[in-house]
Amino acid sequence: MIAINPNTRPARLFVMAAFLLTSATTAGASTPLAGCHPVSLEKGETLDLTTYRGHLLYLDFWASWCPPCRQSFPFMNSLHKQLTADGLAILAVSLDENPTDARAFLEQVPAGFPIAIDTSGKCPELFGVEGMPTSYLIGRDGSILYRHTGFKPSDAAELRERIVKTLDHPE
Amino acid sequence: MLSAALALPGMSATAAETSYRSEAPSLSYNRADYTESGERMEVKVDQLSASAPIGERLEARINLIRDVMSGASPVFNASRLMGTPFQFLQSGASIRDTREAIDASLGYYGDSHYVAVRGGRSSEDDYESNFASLDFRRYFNQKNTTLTASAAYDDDHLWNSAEGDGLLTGPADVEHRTKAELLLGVGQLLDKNSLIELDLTFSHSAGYLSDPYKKVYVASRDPLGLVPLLGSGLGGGSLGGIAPVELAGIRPGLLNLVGIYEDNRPDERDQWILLGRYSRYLEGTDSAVHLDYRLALDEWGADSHTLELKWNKGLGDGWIFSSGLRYYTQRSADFYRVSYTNLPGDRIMSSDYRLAGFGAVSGDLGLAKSLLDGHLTLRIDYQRYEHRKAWELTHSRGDKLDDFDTDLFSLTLESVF
Amino acid sequence: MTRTHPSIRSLVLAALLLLPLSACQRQEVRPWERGNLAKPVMVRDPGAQYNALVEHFHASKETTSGGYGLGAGGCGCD
Repeated sequence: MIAINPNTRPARLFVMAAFLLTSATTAGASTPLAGCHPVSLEKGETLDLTTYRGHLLYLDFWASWCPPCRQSFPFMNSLHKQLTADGLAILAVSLDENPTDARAFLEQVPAGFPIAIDTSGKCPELFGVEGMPTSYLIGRDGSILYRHTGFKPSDAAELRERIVKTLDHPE
Repeated sequence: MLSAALALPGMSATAAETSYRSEAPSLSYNRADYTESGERMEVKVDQLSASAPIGERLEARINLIRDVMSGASPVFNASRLMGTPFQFLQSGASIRDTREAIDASLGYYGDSHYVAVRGGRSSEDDYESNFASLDFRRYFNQKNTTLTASAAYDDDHLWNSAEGDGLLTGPADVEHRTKAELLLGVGQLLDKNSLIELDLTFSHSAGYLSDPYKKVYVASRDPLGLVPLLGSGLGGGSLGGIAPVELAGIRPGLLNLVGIYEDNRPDERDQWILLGRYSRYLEGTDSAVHLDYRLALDEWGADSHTLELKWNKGLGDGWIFSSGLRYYTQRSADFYRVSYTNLPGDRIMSSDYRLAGFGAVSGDLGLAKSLLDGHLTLRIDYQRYEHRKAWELTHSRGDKLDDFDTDLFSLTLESVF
Repeated sequence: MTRTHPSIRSLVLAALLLLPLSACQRQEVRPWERGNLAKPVMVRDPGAQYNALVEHFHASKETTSGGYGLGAGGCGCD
């Protein structure tokens, strides 16, 4: 083991780098949250996803042109109605390039939960989205607990069970 | 069908297949009217299609079609005294035929693949066809790349059902033919606005590939008349060297003297088809262009090229306008002749205009309106098709007496529940 | 009577050469970038019944029929 004299410049740089590296890795799991800034569709304000700390966040990426997304909305509506009181937060982020398309979709498929939009494609890139729709279960500490790609009606039961379990056993 | 179509919908794409399944049942009705110039043919078509999702991943589809044809059809070509071709048409109310077809399919939508099995039957007064096909698709690279493999098989029986002693009659034996097709294709997304596709098809037809109604005219120029002019089934006679007179109104008895033979094609046919497709969305215009090129190489020598351009444009408020332009050119089959001046040794002969060299240009116009939040769609389409010997890209056999024009009007009602 | 067409060899060669070209790793279209590809105008033949009619009609008037398989492209949906 080489003894490091902390008073030398390279040593100080080394310590600084090590500190940054470790804090980066512990914060690594929530880097997508930090770098993703969707815009609220209703209010137009840019959202900071780190404000969801302390809640269990169901983050869903959808688009107006995606047929399975249409089927996931009734499920998310029921989640919103039943589990908000228990600490579940829902945010559905549209990846439409045009907000008009997202709004037209919502006119046909109503949503009782918060809707945001990311037209830049940065959020799905950061989160590593591999299909449409994709939903993430994000823990109270901001870490990604679970990812679900695609949506079929039979997925609802399994997803709800997972959410309820996580709500009952806070980390 | 009197002018027997050798192609059947065993492998036609009947729906714009996308990678997801429709989650609601649908019902479509189509009515179309088709007329050919020069009092040739008129066809009225009724189609009914239904589809429904089953469970989580299955989809069932059924199609019913009925078309009623009336009018005239070319039987054979003859030549006047100076050698100019002359076409004889059998016309009259006796030519009315109804075709009815049904086909059903079951598709399975997997996460990264799709499989479908399809089968059906088509029957007419003088023709019966049974067909089945299997389609398989596999997606790669988050559906950037798609591989397709399809196989289809058609099994047909056909016979001559014309009665009396007119020119259309022939032996009423039931003939049999089969066709096997194999398709391999690859589709690729190029960027967020465009995609390409390449498909290669091999087809092998075997059996009775001739037309049981069509005839060929053989007039020998040999003044000594030593060429035997025995027509099968129509009696014999060897008065060769006699220039024909106009044939309208001549009874079969006299025709034997100048040699009317039956359409007789080889009993095997291999074809290779290469199809290239390109589609591009034009940003900011709510429109897209589609370009197709199809090359067909045929064992009988009747190679063809098809070039098709389509442009679809959204007009807002649920209106979509579609337009298309198509150019088709084919070379005549090696054994095809407008009319024959001698009898080929192997007796392989045909004067069917569908084996002649020609070019065809067609234009499409369509308008669709979406109503009731997309639950109902009304479509109206029109196609004008013009067949001209002069528009052939290559230089092969054929005659402008086979030129014709057609008009097709179509109305469709699609409902999604 | 089977006669191998001289151009068939070049046709198959062309097809085989083009196949790997299309599969090679180009700029991938992300699953959320499929919006334009999913637009109704991108469906080549929106009227399936009309299209089936036209294909059947062409097949009955021309010597070449078929060669059209299923459509290409995926919407990125799962």
